[in-house]
Amino acid sequence: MSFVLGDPRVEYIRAKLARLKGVLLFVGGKGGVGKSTIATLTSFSLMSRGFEVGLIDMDLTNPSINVILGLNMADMKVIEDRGVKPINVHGVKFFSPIVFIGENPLPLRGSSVVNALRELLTISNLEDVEILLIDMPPSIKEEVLEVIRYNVKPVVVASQDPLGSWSAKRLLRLLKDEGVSNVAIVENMAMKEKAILDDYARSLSYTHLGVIPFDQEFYKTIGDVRGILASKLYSSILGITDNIINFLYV
Amino acid sequence: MLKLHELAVVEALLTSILSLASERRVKSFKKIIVSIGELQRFDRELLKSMLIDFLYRMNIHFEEVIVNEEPALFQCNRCGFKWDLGGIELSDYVKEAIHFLPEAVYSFIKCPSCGSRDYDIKSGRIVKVNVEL
Repeated sequence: MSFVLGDPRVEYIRAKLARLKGVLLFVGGKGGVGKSTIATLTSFSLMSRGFEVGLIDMDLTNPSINVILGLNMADMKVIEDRGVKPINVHGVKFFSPIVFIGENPLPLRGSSVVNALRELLTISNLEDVEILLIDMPPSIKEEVLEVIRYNVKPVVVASQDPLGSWSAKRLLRLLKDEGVSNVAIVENMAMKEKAILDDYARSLSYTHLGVIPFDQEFYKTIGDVRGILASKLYSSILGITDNIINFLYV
Repeated sequence: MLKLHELAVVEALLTSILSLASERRVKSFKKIIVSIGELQRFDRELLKSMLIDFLYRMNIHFEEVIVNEEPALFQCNRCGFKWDLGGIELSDYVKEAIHFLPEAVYSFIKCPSCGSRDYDIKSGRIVKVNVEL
């Protein structure tokens, strides 16, 4: 009797992620809502609470967290030890496809997207990671559909404008239809203090983490971790960190 | 300590084999055939010996372990041209990048005919296990 086993990486990834204290998946229906920024700042806020935090830039075709963190190409080298070791950025363990592709473009179609994603999750050495944050590309495509099967907790990053909130609702609805039971939403770059998506989140039995006000000075700190950690935006993230930790342990 | 990313892949293969062994309540296999793509550029003998070592440690018996390599083949979506890796010069840096992340090939190789990066990897990017009981 002969068997062709499924992709061996899938079960391996599932088991690998299940050993962690938690995995947060930063998703957004549209680009430009601040997913990468929120994921990055959340990684530092959780680290400030004593967690060992890993951060993966899974926006394979357009990785950019290295820009937020001010890493130059000389910093982005492959370190191999039972897989690919992370780059230590002020204590956050950072993984990025940039270490493989440098500044070259990486256009991906179809199955290549899923293959690349599975490969990165397989080869990333997470031995020293307790909580993993994964920054996903915008929209609702293969990458999101692939990763939600690994028992992760999506955090939908939404903007308050009509386009952003409409996209966020569609994404929340998809996650509900796909049977994802633990989902959170954070309203970013907010012009209004009052939340506009909290009722909708609760109608789906999802968690509303809070409203992050627009910080018009934040862009000046991009590339400077010390400046980022002194920003109003980071203070706002610190203000919702208790909510994030509670969501992690739901 | 081993510093090889093949180890991560071998662990993935082992997870898959152990899962089937548990599901079928077996402790031995007639044949375990691993197919890996040329793009991964794995050391096949090393991968085979690592897998055998792990199988022994997990008390899984087998008559034969085979590791095959599937050749790489590409086809351009813009002009239809097909090509393989033959005659393509790659630097050590690029070979290593593709070894770790085969899809990095799109960053470094363009269609030899029209120069597009919009092509498909038709074969040579695979991690597959067949087992015979």
